[in-house]
Amino acid sequence: MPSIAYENYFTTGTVSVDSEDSDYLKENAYDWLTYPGDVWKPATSGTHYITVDMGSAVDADFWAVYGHDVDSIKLQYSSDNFAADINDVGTSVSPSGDEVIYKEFTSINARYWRLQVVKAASVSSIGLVMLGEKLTVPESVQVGFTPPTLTGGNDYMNSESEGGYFLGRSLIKNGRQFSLSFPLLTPSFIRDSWDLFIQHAEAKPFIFAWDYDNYPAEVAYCWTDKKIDVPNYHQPNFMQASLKVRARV
Amino acid sequence: MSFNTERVKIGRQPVVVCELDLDFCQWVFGELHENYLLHSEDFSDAYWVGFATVTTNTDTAPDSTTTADTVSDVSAVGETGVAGAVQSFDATAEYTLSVYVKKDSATTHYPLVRLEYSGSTTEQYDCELNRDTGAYNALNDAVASDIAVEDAGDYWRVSITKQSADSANTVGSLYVAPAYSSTFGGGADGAATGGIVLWGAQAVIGGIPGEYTTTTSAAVTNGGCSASAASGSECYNTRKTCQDTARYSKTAKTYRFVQPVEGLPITVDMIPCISGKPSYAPMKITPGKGLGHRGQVQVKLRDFTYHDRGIDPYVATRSYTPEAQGTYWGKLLARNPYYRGRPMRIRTGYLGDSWDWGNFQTRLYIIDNISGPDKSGMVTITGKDPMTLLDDDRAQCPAPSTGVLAAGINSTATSFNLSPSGIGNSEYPTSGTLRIGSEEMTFSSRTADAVSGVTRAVNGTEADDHDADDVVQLAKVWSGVNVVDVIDDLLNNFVDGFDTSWIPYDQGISGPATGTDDEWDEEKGFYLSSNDITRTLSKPTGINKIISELTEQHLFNMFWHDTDQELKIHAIAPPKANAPVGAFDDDSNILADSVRLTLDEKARVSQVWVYYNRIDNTEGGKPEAYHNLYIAADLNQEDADLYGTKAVKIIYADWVPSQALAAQLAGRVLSRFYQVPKIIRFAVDAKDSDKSPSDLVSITTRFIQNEAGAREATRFEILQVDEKEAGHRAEIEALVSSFNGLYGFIGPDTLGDYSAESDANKQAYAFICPDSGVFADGSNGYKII
Repeated sequence: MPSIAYENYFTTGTVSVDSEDSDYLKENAYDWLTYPGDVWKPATSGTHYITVDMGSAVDADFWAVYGHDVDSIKLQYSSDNFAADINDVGTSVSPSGDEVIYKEFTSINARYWRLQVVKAASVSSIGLVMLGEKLTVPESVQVGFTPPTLTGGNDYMNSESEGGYFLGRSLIKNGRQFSLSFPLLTPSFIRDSWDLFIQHAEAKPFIFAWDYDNYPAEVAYCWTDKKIDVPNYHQPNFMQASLKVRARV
Repeated sequence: MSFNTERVKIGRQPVVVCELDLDFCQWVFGELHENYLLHSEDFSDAYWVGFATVTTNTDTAPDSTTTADTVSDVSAVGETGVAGAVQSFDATAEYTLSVYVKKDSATTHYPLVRLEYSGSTTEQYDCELNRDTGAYNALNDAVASDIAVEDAGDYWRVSITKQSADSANTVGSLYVAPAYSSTFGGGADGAATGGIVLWGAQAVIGGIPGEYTTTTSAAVTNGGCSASAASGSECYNTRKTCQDTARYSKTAKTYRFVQPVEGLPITVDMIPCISGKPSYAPMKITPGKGLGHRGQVQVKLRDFTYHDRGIDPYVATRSYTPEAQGTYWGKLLARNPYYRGRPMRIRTGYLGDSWDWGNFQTRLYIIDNISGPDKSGMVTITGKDPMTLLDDDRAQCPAPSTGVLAAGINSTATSFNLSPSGIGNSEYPTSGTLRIGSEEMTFSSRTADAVSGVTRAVNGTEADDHDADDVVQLAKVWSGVNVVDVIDDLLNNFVDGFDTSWIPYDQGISGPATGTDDEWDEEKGFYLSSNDITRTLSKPTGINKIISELTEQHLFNMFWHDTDQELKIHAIAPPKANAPVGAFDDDSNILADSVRLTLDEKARVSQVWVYYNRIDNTEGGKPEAYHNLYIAADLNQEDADLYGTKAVKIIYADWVPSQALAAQLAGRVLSRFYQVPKIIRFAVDAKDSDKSPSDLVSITTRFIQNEAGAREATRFEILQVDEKEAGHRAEIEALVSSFNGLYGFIGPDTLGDYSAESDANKQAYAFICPDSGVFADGSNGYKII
């Protein structure tokens, strides 16, 4: 089933870092902005942490990072602010490029959470960190849906000579665009879950994983494009919801 | 992600970055800096304690003085060093201690720099330095973030920042051991020996090493900010918001913007708010017709709310929420109203495999205007090429004088006084040339405001009576000065803000000369070698106008090369021997459906009339104002069977002092424009867009044919390169570059007879032909111009 990750404890808890470059403050890591330079950077290379104290234990079942320059990254949780109780959530992730890192896990209840970022040779950079409980859409994507990570859809400009020879080509990539459409959602899901998500999506980005169980790497950092359609009764007992999004993968 | 300047860019995505360098104060609000170490450049002084051996003034220091000392550990048993105590020590303050260590590739020993606190609890924040690479190890109490190693040319500036953990401590000190270890990272080695070069020790309160200031016997305040507004009311480190303007110290902060394309690297600080593509109005040369058209660029950027992190150093203390108040551009422009004339760079490259600014093509402009944000939330930045600094309203020669006659003089007076009092010493030399009204005069002496030894009515002007308060204008005089040096003089001495690095002239006055010719040296030494100028300029005249006249009357192109970021001078003449000439043709270079060919009927010249040698130096621009006229004519072209009409070009050559130069000017103009010139416009792919105005290119296209219909390679001079699609497509405009006749250069002794020489040498060098004017194979003889 598709997952939508939009909750972020880093925006609601108390965040601290163990090191910070004064030009690249920790707030950059959870302001939802992911453009070049809007990053948290520790002051030095090596291993560093960005920690969130939720005040009391909370449930979480996903973490994500988008916009990163790290050797590896790992989620940890603790009951004593990492004094003695330090627990890993899964294993470290070593990204190969600048792909969206999105990890789902069996729900864990804890007060203190932190991401350990490691970069040995230079200072690491983190554009956005997310942690929270995902929204699982109880309906698969529809026929015609294109996974956002598949290539294609780009524009080109060709150069052809007066004599008819191929001289070059410029690639024009302006990000991904796709539509999400779920025609068979229950009215209770729409009212209890979807509407809350839309309230978030009207202001801020989110992460979409269309089939995490089978294609865990095919995730996208999305924001809505144009007007969000109002859900409607598509059939007597089902409602339809859809939205157009722009995305980075 | 990255960029690649590989111009053959199949499948790559072009991207444009815009950078603005705006003023930014280097100081931290409210932090005064004082160097609390004494004898900061003399480690032999008794102030510095320890057992290291010090030899003073052995090396050139970062300030180019010979004040750096060699500090040596000569003991193979134990470590030695030098230590200096921080004056007026305050254990509750954070200190930054710094020292310059000269770079050295020696691997026999590695120095240690230490910030030490003691008196109650000893704390040692140590930095082991690799003088070859600048790498360092944080040792003892230090962690890596306490240390910074800055590349300072031939030196590393090592700084350690820390506040004592024990407020009962009473001593802070800087300690340097020249031979701490024999293996970098291998730990202390008392047996290690060797010397290092040190200079510029400094201790300041605060978190940055700050600008270095020399001390001798007492601590010296060396800058910083004394403003004292409450937290939240700090400045924004800009001149407009400065609260201690006396101490304002300007540096530049780079603001970088980029097109919002996919795949930008997260680690490079740039905001993706450029809307669309930059709009270029490229520079265009106009051979023989002055300075041509200036280059200009316009970039449109979107405005947006912004959190101020990274641009407001005190964002954490503000009482307002930055992203909820105002917009990025609204705030930036309010804080930085003094942007005009500051550098602006447009950088184009391609997304590739790794990011390297060195692979970008960078064009330099000067910010002319920033307008907006408008109702659509757009800001438009206009940049012009640096020759805009030459504009007549910005720069004049001579500079307007402000002295006036203290009293009226008659037409024979040979002395007078200047007013207001003191103006003589501040504005006038002790001898020179002046202009009062329309009379020019020389003077041989000036003492304070008294001018004497005046010779009246020089340079063909008439002596006249002058009234009190008449302006006494100091004239600029060149006597037998080469035109290249005249331009160098104008740019260096009469144009504010013109960076000397933009003038590729080794023998220029900005010096020192390296002895290796640069481009201007070569032009001066070749076609412009005899173009010496004798001229008195007694009326403030715009530099743009002056240089425009010089280019027209000495026949050279002068233009801003935006990617080389230099001002170029190219003589308008046949190409030098073996000069590179590019080649474009229909198959490999010229884009489909892009060729337009026109004839510039008005550019043909059959006669050139050069008026020179003004009768009265203050009057020109009309035939009767000159002593001499030189005429060069190609009457054959006026024959009824040819063009059938005269085409006369008249030049009032105020910068041409002799008949020889008048003849040279007339001859070259006639040779260059004896036919109706072709102008070709065509487009090329990015792979061929690295051409510049004034470059020569041989074009073979089906649109230019000989009498038999065959494609005929024709040499053109590029006038303009317009990058229509950044990184993808450029449009080129070029003017045919034929000179009437065959030209060559004096060849080496090794050349044989014409008939035996290669085609390349026939093109490069001149050969003497028989009296018939043609060689045995029927080729035309060479010409001398």
